Amino acid sequence: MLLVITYSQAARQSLRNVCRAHEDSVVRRFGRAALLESTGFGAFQALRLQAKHGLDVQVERVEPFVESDVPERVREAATAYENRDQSSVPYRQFASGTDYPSPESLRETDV
Amino acid sequence: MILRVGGQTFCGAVVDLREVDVDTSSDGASIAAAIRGEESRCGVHCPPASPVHARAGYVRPGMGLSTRTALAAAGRSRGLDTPSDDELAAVRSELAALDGDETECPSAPTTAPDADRERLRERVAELRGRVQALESTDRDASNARSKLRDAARRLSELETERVAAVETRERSRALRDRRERRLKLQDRAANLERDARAHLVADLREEFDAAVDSLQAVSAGGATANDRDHPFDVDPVTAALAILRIAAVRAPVVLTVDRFEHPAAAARRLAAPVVRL
Repeated sequence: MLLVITYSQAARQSLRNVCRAHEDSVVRRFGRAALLESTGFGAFQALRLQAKHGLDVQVERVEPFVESDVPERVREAATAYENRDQSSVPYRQFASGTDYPSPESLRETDV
Repeated sequence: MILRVGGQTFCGAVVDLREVDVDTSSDGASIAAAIRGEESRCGVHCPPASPVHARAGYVRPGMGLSTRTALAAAGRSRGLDTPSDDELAAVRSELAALDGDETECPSAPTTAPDADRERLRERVAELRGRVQALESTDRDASNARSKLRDAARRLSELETERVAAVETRERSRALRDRRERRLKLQDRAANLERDARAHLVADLREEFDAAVDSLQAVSAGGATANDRDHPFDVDPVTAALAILRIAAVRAPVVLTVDRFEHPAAAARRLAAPVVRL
């Protein structure tokens, strides 16, 4: 999918107009951003906006998140932490002395 | 005021052009523009116009009017404050500072996909191996060497482009951070302006009503406040005149409507210099 983010009032208005006119190509709309279908038409609209508003329009390619692509220890840590007994325990404390990765090690893990 | 129109000059707080050979609508618009300090074929020497003039400074039949915005401007002309003012000033000054240091827009260089670079890197390694093989067996390696040179140059170009693309991306991110801040401030300013306008309108509502009533009494036969469903439910001409009455304006207002017995009466009731066409 294509993530289009706008950075000015004019660009935001143009994006709204595009989304309103081409609902079929819009996956999701957020205030000043939208996810467009990854099709020639979606890219056409994104490029049009960029041609019109330059740096006020940012276009990024967004991939679907596949959970199984994430290392198992990261997934396990997330599940275990959400199932913890004491909701007030910060993750750092929760993980210390266990096999769960530290926040630092999580930050350094590229997924 | 000193007013120059159609080759003639007029002086005084009230200028009556009804008997003068001028075009009511086009000269009216030109005079109003000159009063606002805009480019115009008429010349006016007068005190500076207030924002009220942009809204209600030219009262003519069939005019449009954003009554609330104009009324808020009238409140400002009298120096009224609102609770939003301090924050609005802070937001505007931060916006002005942001607008000041806008740098050039980096255009994103198009870069070859990683796969292309990888292929080229393999090709360079392969050619290097071939050159070495040919040289070690004393065969002619000039052809392979020239291919290697070309491939290596192309690879180095791609690497340079990639570095440039990464730099552009980082620079764009910094610029967009600032634009994001600016957009937030603009939205905040718009909200504060709306709040301020609502506050001013609420403050002046009764006064506006009274002004409308007194004007309609003059033109006679108009509905009174009690007959109106909504206080702002009045024709734009009456609303504009009521707003001028409320506003503190020193620059002349231009009238092409027949609501007062004579231009001097208009000037007195609106407490403003008047040009009547």
